[in-house]
Amino acid sequence: MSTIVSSEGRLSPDILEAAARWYVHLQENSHEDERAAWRHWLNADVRHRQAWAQLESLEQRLLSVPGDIVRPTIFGARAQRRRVTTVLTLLMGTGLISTLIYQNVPWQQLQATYRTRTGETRRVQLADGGTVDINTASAVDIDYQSTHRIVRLYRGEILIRTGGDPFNRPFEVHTQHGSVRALGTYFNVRTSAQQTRVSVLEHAVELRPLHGEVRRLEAGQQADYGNGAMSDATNVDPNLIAWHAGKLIAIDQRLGEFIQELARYRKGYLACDPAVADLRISGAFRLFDTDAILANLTASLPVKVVFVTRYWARIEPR
Amino acid sequence: MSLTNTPQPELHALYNQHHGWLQGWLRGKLGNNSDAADIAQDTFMRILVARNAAVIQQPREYLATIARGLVTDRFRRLAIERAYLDTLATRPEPETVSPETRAIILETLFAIDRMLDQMGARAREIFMLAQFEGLTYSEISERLGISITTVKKHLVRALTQCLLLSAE
Repeated sequence: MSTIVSSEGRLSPDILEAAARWYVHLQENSHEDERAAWRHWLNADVRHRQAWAQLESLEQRLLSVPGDIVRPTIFGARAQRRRVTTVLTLLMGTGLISTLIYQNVPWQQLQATYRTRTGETRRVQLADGGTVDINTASAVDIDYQSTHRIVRLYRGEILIRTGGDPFNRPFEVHTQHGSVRALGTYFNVRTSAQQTRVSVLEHAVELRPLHGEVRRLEAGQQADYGNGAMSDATNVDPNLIAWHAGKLIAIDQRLGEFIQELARYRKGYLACDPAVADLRISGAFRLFDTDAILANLTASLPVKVVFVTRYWARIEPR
Repeated sequence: MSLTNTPQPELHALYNQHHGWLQGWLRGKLGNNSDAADIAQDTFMRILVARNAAVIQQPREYLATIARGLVTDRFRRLAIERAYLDTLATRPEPETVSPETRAIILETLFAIDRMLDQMGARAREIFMLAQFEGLTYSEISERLGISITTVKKHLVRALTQCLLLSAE
């Protein structure tokens, strides 16, 4: 829009307001004499024409995104912002004053609960600059207090990127099987009724299982712990966090395992007949369309998908 | 963006003396080195484009003010992007949007969000109804229980503020 600004510099607010008034007026009054009056105004001064052109390009811009996208997006963004504004303001204040306020914040108010539906992922921005990416069908509480930063994972899977904390409060992820303390890091936690799996992508974490001893896990390592003993550390599957990019990646994987994994992202029932469970599959699949993945299977393997309803599907030999 | 060809020696001096400090200050605020580096860079870009390095009186205060605005912008962009993806996710038909189109849509949504910020609560509500829900003035006046004249008055003010903002 800068092209419209004339050599005379910026248009005065008065002229812009006059253009806006004409615009609002003409929207619902298009009598010929009104339009004549408007044309007279336009012709009276080059700046009037410039103001009108600015208004038209503004309108064009506002109309370029459909209203049914604008409304929910703007409302959603503003609601999100109201939730984080307090924290943001505090972080961006300067010096001692901000430190004092920061310490007196009622931290209880900064607890929040996040849930994702099956097939849904979302990112939560943490007050300290870190992020939590939440995978399908998960439930998470974020609990920042003056003495600690705790993320509680009740169900599902999260990918954590910790932020630096001006107060060096410890950062922990709690599951029903114990806790993980971050040592400045990037790591993935997945929990089910039986066990919790922690995979470290950068730096290190300290595992504190309810049953068993504290153990340090380094980048590239993962371990499982549940009600029994902790597993030995193994190498992190490089495709572990493909979900973060909306993908499911299989490299020579048993079909049975693949389907079990896929079922996490699909509403309803999805199972694999043991007769075909040992077939092997490789590929990168886009998780947003699990129907397409199933269709793809039938094209590349000797299997068929039996649908009883849209939400009840089973992979069987063809 | 067309950048200047003429040298700005004051800018170089400003950069040499304060870039390290600014990035450190941002790192302390954001707890993230790469974001801090990006925003420090953007801060100097602003000054480069504004060509006002020579007249800056209290450099660190000034740099911090610009940087703070940029950090706020970044959070706003994240909120818009998140909400946009949420909006797409709730649509019955999956939509494929090219990365270019998506960038333009997000930029527009961000601009709209900033414009709405300039308005009072009432004007914002009226503007949303008229602009994005396609209600007529009389429908808005009925829905909000105010006169048509008041509806128009708010809209004129809202549009004027949008124009002033886009001219910046």
